[in-house]
Amino acid sequence: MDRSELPLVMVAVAILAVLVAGELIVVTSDGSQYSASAAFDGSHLEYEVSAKGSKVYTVVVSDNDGYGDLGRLFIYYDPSYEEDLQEAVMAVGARSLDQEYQLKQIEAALKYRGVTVDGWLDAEGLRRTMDEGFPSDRPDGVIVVSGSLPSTVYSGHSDDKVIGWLEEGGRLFWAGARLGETYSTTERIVAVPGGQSLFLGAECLNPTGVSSALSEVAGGSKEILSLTNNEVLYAVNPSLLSEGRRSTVMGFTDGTYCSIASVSVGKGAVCIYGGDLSNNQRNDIAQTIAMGIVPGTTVVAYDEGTVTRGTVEGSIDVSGTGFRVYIYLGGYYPVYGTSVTL
Amino acid sequence: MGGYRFWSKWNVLTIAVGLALRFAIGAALTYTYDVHSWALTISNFEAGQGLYGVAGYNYTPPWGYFLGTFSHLAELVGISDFGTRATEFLPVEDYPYFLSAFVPSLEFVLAFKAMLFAFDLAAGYVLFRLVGDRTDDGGKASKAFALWFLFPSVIVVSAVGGMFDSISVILTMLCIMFMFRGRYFLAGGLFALAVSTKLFPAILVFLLVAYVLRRETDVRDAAVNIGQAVVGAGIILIVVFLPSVIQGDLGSSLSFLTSRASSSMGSGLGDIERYGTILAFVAIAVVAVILARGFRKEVSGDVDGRLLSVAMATLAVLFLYPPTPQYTLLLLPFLIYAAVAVDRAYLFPLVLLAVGSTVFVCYLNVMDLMTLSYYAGIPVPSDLAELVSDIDPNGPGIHLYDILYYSGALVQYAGIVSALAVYLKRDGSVGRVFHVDKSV
Repeated sequence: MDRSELPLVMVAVAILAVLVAGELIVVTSDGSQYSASAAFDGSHLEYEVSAKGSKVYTVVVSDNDGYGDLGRLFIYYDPSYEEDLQEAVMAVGARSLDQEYQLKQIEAALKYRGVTVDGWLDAEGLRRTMDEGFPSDRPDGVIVVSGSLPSTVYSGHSDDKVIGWLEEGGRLFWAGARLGETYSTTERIVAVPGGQSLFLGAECLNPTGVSSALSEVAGGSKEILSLTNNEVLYAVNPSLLSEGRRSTVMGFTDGTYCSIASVSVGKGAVCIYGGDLSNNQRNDIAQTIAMGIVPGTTVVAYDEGTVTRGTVEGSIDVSGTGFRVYIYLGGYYPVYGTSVTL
Repeated sequence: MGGYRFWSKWNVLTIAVGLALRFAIGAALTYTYDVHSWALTISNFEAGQGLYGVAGYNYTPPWGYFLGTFSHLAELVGISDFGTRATEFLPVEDYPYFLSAFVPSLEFVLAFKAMLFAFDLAAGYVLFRLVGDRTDDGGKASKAFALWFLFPSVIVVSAVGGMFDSISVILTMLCIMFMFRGRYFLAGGLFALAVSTKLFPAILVFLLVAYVLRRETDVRDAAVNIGQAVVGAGIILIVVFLPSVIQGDLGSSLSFLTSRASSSMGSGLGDIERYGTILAFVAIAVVAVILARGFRKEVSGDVDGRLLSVAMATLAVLFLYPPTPQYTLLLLPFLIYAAVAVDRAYLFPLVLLAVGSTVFVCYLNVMDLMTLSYYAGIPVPSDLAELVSDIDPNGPGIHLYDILYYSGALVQYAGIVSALAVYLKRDGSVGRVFHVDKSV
């Protein structure tokens, strides 16, 4: 090699080295570089957060007002049934955010927050699951982002299977359109004017084209949970819910509608996420399911800090029992989460 | 190497001024839309999702791998908070621009941009060596280095836009310099990496093949050299894309092929733009082949210098399809070389590009203050939010943003066209011998 060539070769080698080193980091990163745990001694919650790198963390302690944890969590997806979705607006170069892709990503986002999806259900599978009841004392949950429930469980009547399932304790996590206003068959979408009342007891879902909310819901949930979706199309106006309904709202509001609302239906609940399918909505779905959102959820305490190449220990003073503790790392750029009920 | 050295006092001064400008501008202004997406990409793979497991990364793998190394270094120095979602700035997301209220943190922004500045510097060094080797004149090499490292659009593309086009510039220049030295295996690998980092250098493939054919009188020797380059390229492509193949993400990793170029200036004309884009790039490829064929048929002269000249012309033709400003960085080294080593007339298009591309990058002006505002309180976020809402671009009338956007784009375009005009005036006739003019 010509001596004058050496500096150029060094530049080339340096760039290739940076590339290959980065490739190894990307390929081998599996989330195992993070961990967290919590324990409760009756008056103090002790927590521990570890990271091989450097990350902000948040510890969220919530009281779920007697609602238990979820048993099984399912995802509904049946491409043979019609969907009632608007095309999502995507960044240049991004893959179109269709129902299946959004669901796969929700599953992935839940996984690194410590929540395992127990299976995907088609329309018939959803009917069977709702028919068989809950196999344990914990209720099932189902994520539906098709914008329209399949005719196997919903046809616009109060005695439909999904209504009974919710009354018994089932939890529906919903996005994509106004809940209950349609149902889907393999051939078409059928309108059910006023169908939302069957679920919510009132017509309280945002019917307008106004979608952006520019304020935070009171209580600090947006900051505490690093919530990101400020779309409120199809979202709940909690002031229109009847007094008998319990509800928790989080995220953003335009003063009327809230981007996240969990509303009681009998012993169960529906949690409605505003807006068309989006990356921000996905983050909020995963984050709130991981923290265990139910209609009675109240954040009773939280702590935050930074962990750098090691373990951080901390404690939070709380009294009572049955707390749900959710610890996540990365803030608005989450990389890890875990939760435990104490 | 000739009698010149990189670490001269002028080059050190250029580096000092260039870095000072970059860090000052980089701390003040950040295009949040793209920089946020880099933070999101990092968090996605740190969460074990690779580059494409969850949405956020829309490029081919190499830039993601560079982000991998950056993430490791950033966390080693204790950068823990990548940013926030600023409620105060949510209205900007309803504006008709690509804007995000995800505001990367100041510490993340500065560390990330420092990496880009290093790439700017490396590209400048390679250009210094290219001009030095070609002219054997340290003064001209330093002028070229200063022109690059202090070039306004080069500064703002990395310091404000947070874009990585300098990497593609380095790799393309290195490829050509190794071709000059007959290192075809290395050149092929670097070319493949340049193209897989940003597609645009691909347009030079016809010219590079013509270069090998012109240099080697024996067809078998040329075939062997091209074969070496292909093997080098193949190895790099395997290194880059193997994880995507294994993980089934190859489609996602190549999505930029259809989206990056077609978006270009984003006219929003739907199918007309889409099919027009395809036709435009076919036409550009035909012109590139014609230029390469003309180069191949030239019978004498300075082959290496001619390659640089025709490469400049080829890239200028490519960017006749209006590019976003960062794309033009690939053209700059060739243009700077031409201005410093060939003909001062090339300074005119450089000036136009300096003005046009810079205005084009910075057309959002106050909206690029979001990181500084949120994390340093300059100005306080409520004041910036108020300022931004006062100049609501959704309102009636012509807005400053639009004026800057379109005037910047037009001046940039004039720079590209004038570069071609100078080329045609000086070297346009096929077969003309290209001479390095050492009297410039």
